[in-house]
Amino acid sequence: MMIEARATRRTTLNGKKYAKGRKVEMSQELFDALLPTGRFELVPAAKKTAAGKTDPSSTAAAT
Amino acid sequence: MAVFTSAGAKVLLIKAPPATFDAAGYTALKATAIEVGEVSDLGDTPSRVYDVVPWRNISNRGESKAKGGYTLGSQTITVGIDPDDAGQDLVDAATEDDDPYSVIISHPRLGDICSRALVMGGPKSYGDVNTVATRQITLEHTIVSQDEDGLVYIPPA
Repeated sequence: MMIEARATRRTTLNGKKYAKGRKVEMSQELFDALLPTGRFELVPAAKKTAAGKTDPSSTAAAT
Repeated sequence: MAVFTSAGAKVLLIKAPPATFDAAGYTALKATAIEVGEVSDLGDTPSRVYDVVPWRNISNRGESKAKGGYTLGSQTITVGIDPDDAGQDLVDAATEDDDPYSVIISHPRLGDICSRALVMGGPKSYGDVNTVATRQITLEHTIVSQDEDGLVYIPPA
């Protein structure tokens, strides 16, 4: 599984240089291996738009 | 006949053990291992070295020898200090850790030597004005169980 991570500081990883704040796509396993270094943080997944996706039954129950 | 230098070799480190202590296990692990950057000297790679056990009886004075236990040895690698390098950061974390880490010494022509090792850390040397600041890191290679070394050699493709 691939995840999106962000460099918390300027980092050289496996020969590639990443500026601070640069987003990097990497495997979950690689991210886990890097956790002790604190050099990458998980980028939160973008929120899905809710327009037209509301559940009518829950709306009715609330009213 | 051909001989090779260490040019192109890499040291890879990761805390996780392989799923299996064989070529397939370490090959899978290699995909997520982290390279220790700026290595300038690999030192002695792990290998079984047996102790010699001598015995002399007093009647004829001669010494007979037997093979005793073995060690996978220790390895001291030299790196140029790079504060940006994630691999060197992982070495720092591993030094604080009592658990062994997986180490893969990957050579483009000689193949991969894989083992589990305790990362013991090592002194930094800033040297003089004409010297690159370096650090010597000691790895103590260890067996993984009473049944197996965990030392795996993967020939080059």
